[in-house]
Amino acid sequence: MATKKQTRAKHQLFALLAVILAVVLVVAGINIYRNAKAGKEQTVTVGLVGNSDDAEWKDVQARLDEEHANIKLKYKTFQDGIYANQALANHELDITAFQHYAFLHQEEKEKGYKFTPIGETYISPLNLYSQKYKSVKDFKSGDKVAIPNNTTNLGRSLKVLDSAGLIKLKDNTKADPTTDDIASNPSGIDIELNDPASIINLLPDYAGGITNTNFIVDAGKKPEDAIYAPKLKPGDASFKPYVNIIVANTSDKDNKTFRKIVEAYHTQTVAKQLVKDHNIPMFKY
Amino acid sequence: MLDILNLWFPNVMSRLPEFFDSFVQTIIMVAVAGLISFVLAILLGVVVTVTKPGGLYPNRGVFNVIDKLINLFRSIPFIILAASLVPITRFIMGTAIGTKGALFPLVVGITPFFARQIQSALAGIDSGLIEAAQAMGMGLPEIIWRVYLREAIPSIIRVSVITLVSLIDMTAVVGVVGGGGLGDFAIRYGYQRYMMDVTIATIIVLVLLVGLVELIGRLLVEITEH
Repeated sequence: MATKKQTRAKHQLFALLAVILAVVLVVAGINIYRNAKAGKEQTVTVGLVGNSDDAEWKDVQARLDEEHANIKLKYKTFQDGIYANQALANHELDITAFQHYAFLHQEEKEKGYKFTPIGETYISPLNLYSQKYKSVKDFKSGDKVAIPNNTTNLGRSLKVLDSAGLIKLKDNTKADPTTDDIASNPSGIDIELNDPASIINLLPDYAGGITNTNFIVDAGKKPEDAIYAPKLKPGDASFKPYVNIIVANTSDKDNKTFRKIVEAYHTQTVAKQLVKDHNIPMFKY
Repeated sequence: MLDILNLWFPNVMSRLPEFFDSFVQTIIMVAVAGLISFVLAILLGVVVTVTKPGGLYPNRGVFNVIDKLINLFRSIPFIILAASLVPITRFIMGTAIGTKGALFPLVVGITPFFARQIQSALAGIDSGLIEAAQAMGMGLPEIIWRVYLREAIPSIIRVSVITLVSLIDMTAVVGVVGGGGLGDFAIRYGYQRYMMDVTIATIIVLVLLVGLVELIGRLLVEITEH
């Protein structure tokens, strides 16, 4: 025999389930409506890491729409480039736009991917920041300096520290130097690896830190706030590895649709947006 | 109302369709992975309970293998498990990315935890009931169905609620393999782009979701308990 309490619980549950059912139906309805509206455009899936290039890609889509190219860009956003490349190799993505040559070459070497860069996009400065000091000369022995923990940005950060004179690398043209490649450490700084996104928030705990420009901009700072910035010259061979690229599977390298997307990227609108985001466009516009 | 939302959550309001999609992805992941895992966990929980030394049908071999496997999988940090399962996920699901690709690692990740929870729910059954059932001449399947599972329903509901909440938590991690969901949304905007309002909005939605799961669980327990 059901007690009063049970009956009440039953009624409440039924009411709750009815509400949930209604919500599910509305959600399904909205999705069906949105899919129906999507039409018969050609969809190209672009793999991105993080969302710092959203504005540029919005411009690319706008340009494609203007040209009536009938290309709909669909974005898959990853937290880590390693998975984006796996998905590209598996044709779950059509193209990716997140890596520079250095990362691509490292991935190709390690995993045997058959990828081809189909267009260069921009170079992002990688500078040294500090809340404690105004100049690299102020660094003392035992000061902690944070650098990104992924292979290519780690290597690039070491080159930045080398060019700032804080450390000496055995060979500063080596592709991906690691902390083992440090020949001497005249400043006596302690190099610590950390997640590039968190370095900004942890900066008060370090004497200095190096992190990617997108994080600097998102945190409301400017790359110009850096206490040290290596000179970036377009055409400089030593920075070529850090030029970002749009990448496709080698089997797709002549795909006309992908070419059109690259062309839509190589426009003045996108270049202006890149400059606004403190990046350096690496294409003619 | 809309003005306040725009003021307090500017970065969420400008990405409302994506926020909405992420929410749906989380729901799909939790519902589908939870359901598959529930069936597997009941199966594993029953087998472990029955075959354990002193159980109804002791079998040292079967018990040890399953028991140790559960421990093994519970010991692997979920982020590493999700990453290392990628090739198997791709083989089974056809893709390792998106919500579809997230389901397999979620099931593998949550089932051992769920199985342990079910096992402890079944362990709460009064041994007197089992003895009475045996005395009445019930066979093994009948005892499992009519005594173990039937009697443990309120406990099973309670442990399922605990597991579902852990599962909601885990869906945030599968974002690294492009799984989507609210946790991924919060990491990409809230953490990586320092948009605090995105993190807060995500937390609010997740708290409501957890609250809803707890509420349904409580009502179900009230109905089934006697």
